[in-house]
Amino acid sequence: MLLSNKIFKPIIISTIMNDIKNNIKDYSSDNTVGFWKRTLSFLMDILIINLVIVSPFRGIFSGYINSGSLKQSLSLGAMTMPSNMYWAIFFIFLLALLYFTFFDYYLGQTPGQMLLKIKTISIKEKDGQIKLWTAALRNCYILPFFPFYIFWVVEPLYLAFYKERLLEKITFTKTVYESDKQSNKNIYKEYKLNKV
Amino acid sequence: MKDPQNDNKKKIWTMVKILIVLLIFSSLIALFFTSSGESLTGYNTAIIPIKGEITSESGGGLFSADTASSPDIIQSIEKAKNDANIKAVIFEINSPGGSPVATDEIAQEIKSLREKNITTVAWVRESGASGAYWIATSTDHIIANRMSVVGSIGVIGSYLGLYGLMNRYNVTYERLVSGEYKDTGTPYRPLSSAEENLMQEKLDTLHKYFITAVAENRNMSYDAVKNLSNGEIYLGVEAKDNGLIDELGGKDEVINYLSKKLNTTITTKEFTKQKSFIESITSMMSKNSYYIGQGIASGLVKDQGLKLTT
Repeated sequence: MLLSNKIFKPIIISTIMNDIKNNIKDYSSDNTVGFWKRTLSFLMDILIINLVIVSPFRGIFSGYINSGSLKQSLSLGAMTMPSNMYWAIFFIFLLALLYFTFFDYYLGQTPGQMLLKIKTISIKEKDGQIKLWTAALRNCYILPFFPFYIFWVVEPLYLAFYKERLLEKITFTKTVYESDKQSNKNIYKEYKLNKV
Repeated sequence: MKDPQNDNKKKIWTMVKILIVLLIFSSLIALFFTSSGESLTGYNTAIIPIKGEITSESGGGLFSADTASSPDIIQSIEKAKNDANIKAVIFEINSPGGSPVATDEIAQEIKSLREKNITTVAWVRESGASGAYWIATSTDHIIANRMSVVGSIGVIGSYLGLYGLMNRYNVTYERLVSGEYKDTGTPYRPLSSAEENLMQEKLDTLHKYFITAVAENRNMSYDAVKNLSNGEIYLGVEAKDNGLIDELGGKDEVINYLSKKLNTTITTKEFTKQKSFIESITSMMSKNSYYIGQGIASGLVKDQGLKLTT
């Protein structure tokens, strides 16, 4: 009896566990949202950001653009852009980062994701709630300076091939369909099993 | 039991709160940039060049060198007038003058900048003579180099008479006109004394307009300007002495004057007509054609007229 407990029990348990892992893996990977839906939700968010965050700066930029300076700056490689302009652009991107961070933290979804009924969850937490620093880190690709703008190329490519962003992999977050709550629980279980 | 409707309402309300907070932050930051006193665009002074002969046609034609076209210059002035960042305009002048109509158009447009409290300065380079000088007087302040050529307050209508050459080769001019003065000024026959008097009257009228404009703009009496208006050119140092310009100097003096007047750091930006692709190509071709022609002509014609060189 004691011998069978020592030999057979671990074998049986690991077989069952592997079985569960395989089943959950197949089931849960269907719940991650694909490239095009996520791109569409991102574009919707950009429109909202344009309305809420960029529009107060419009008066300042329009004078610069209308006078032809923007064309001149672009043709000379933006080195002629005045330093104040750089700061204004920096603050716009910082507010955009706050947009994505606050929505991920407080609601688990941005307005664009809300419209398409998708959301972001943390696979490390049982209830899927994302922590504030996790939300900030997973969205840091927004920032327009080195090294973050490397993600402007890496993230879309990674998403296209692996159905998740690189920063999501790093921060243990996923973008899933809102409706399938069972799959979302399974994703947490899968993470726990993999850790074990 | 969770109430989905309540959850939705909570969600929407949270979303609205976050958007309001972000809107407030972005408005405050935008307000900070506009009220900081420094121009976000990085410039507060326009430089508008007036170079070459003043004409009322757009420049860059196939067989012409660069000219100071009044429609183009007026367009640049309008652009500066409508740009909220512009506090001053510098007119960089290097022109021997030209069309009286084009000159007057540009002068009037410069004066309209006063309505928007925009300070104007004429910075004369090599030459600011005749019509170019008229334009310079429309500004608030004229600065020229001590060796610049200014003045030439007069009107010229001279032309080449070809009748002598025609006579030599038995070429005749068949005059068919209705109206005695219809072909006045034709190079194919000499001017009659009546015609000469008539043309002189016109020139004197234009001359009077010129003197009146300079007197008004420079705050001088008509007679004082008339005494200086025999068509003579003046060097910058002479013009300063007789009150035709305000200051001797170059770009540094222009910037110093403006920064003292406006009590701010001066940052400049050139305002010129944006050329389309086709205009750029034709302008380049016209320059090449002009310089080829000039090169050939200079080999054939030794005397190029009065030119002050060191």
